[in-house]
Amino acid sequence: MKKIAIILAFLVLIIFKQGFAQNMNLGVAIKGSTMGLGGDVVFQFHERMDARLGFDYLQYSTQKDFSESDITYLADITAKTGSVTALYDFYILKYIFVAAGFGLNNFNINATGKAINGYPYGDIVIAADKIGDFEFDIAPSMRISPYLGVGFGRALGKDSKLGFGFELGSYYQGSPDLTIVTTGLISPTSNPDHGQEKLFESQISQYYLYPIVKFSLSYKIISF
Amino acid sequence: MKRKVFNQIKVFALLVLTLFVTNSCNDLLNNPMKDKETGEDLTLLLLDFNFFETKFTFHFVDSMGEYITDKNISVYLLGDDAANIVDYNGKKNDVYTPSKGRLGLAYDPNVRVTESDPVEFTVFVDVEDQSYEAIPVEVYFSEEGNYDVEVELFKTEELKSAVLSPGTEPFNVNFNNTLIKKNNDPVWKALSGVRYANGKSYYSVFRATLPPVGKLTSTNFTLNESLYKNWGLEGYYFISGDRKTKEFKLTNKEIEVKANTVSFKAYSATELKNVLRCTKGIFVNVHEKFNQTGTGNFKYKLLNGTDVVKTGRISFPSLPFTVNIGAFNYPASATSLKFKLEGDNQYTIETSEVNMTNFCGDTVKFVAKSKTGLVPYKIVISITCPGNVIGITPSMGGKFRVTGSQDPWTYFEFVQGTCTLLLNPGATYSVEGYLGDMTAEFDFPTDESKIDEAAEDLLESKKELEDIEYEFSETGNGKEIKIHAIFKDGDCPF
Repeated sequence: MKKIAIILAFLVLIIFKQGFAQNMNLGVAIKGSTMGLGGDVVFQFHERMDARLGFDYLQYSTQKDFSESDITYLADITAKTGSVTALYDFYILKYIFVAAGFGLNNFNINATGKAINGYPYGDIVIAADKIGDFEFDIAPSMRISPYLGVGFGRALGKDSKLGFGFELGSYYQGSPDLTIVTTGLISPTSNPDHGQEKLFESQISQYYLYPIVKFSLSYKIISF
Repeated sequence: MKRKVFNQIKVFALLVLTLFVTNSCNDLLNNPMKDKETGEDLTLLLLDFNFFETKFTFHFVDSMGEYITDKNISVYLLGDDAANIVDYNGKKNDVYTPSKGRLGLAYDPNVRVTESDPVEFTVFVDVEDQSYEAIPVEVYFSEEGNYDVEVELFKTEELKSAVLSPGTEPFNVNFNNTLIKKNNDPVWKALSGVRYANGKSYYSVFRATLPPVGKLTSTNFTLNESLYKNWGLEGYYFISGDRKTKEFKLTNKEIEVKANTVSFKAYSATELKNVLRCTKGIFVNVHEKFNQTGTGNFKYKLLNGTDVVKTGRISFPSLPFTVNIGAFNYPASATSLKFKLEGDNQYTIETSEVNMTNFCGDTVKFVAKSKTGLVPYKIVISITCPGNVIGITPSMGGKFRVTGSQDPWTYFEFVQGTCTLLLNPGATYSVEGYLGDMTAEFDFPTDESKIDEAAEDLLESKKELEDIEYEFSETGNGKEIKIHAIFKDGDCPF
């Protein structure tokens, strides 16, 4: 199976080579973007075109407290970004290119928490554990997100082994999906009858694009 | 070369601008916790103010089962667990006042109710103009739940005192030689079994206004002390409206109170004779024949032959449901009891009487059948108090019937702010709703085109309300109505 794959890859290279009848380059890049840190494998098969396969990932966790209705809640918030991407670049000018493709968008914000103080109610106090737990989860409605961007620089260096690229773009991830799970006295929050999930999904619906600002540094490994 | 690079930067800037022109930066910077349309703060977590695992709805009714709505009734709770009782605002009071013959109380949710630690207290009732008397009612439940407790009050007449005929147990009670006893309804027999925590049983025998000196003789009051000689008496009297507990003793045809009392209410004690107590109660299970669920409240009677052992109501937020009726006393000779369940305006009960042989702790099953022509209306209520910016989903209750009809009221209760009622499309219903200690009476038209007018009427009658928003939608076999009540600052019901 491995042999077949190598033979196929070789055949593709031959076809490209014959089709475009010019030098092709293969390299790797490290990148940092609003989607995280990662790397690309860059295959430049034409003076004006290349393809990138890559991944990136970033995770940030924090705690935050907030108060509602005289109850203080503590939330553990984890924000994850990252993607597995397949991009095609077309150089409209020597150092300006348009990038298009798809990414498996792993963007996710998850917040879980619970009340940390009781709720004074008349002559009694409603215990914090009765108030319940919550979990809010935000994820793209389109996990496979199309990408469009413009870049300045080169995905692989043009005349040198090293290349630098700066890119601005967006994933179209669709209006984010919100999932709410609640227990205890805050259970109505996740009860569809009260429409809280729908309400907050509409409140974040403007984030249908995931903006990308990306820097990359590449190294040309093979020219053939 | 320099110019060439500069041109490329300009092209790049143009491309970036084109790419992002459709993605408004203003939108991206919007705070999702501010309503997009109104700019008002949004509440993330909706809190159900139904904090309570165990709730009691007391129904104060006359001998015909009608609510006593025109009297000032004071309700006192006594017994060890009475201290754990609160109103729906979480307040512990010495005296509670029913509204429209109904009183909703709850058990402190920090105290568990279990078989080994049941909730047990006694309800004493005082009617301001003394036009009604009630026997103390013991409440005993060994698990958490929502319970209905019926307190029956008996009409008295002014200046009449009680004459007890002790030789005719179960007790017949006469007021001015008028026998207060329903035909074939030995209510006093059941009452003789009412038990207070110390193992004695109590029943109300008289009320009198005492002279400044605390001594009441049995003038016009026949008391066979042999019945009571081995039993102490406990009672409660009032000084300037405050309830006091004081020992007083029964002497020969006298009750002596060692205090300066202004008014006096006594309960005499007797031993439970040939009566057994079932603390496990009976579980009542009801399911609907056509899976047509709804909210309601059924009346029941537990009978020994034709003798009433216990009466009451059971509430259900949806069908099927199972609920326990709580502890009851029954004659030791009883080998079986009959459980009778009455439907309401929404449901009929297929076989409404069931004989039970091993009744204590057993389950009795009924099949309810929704009445023809009725359609489920799912009602979802939420409340906002702008001052506190809290979104709450109240657990409220109430009753309804077709406007202008004399149908019995059908009772309902919201759970997590929702309930489903079976209603006749096109009809208008009179509704009395209870939310905390707030009541609201209004007409509810099932016709969507008439609801604006009803909402305006309600807004006019309830000055606490700032606005009411509603939304009708069709469901599979009925309708859903979402109602959002917005209270004025400072008028929040919670």
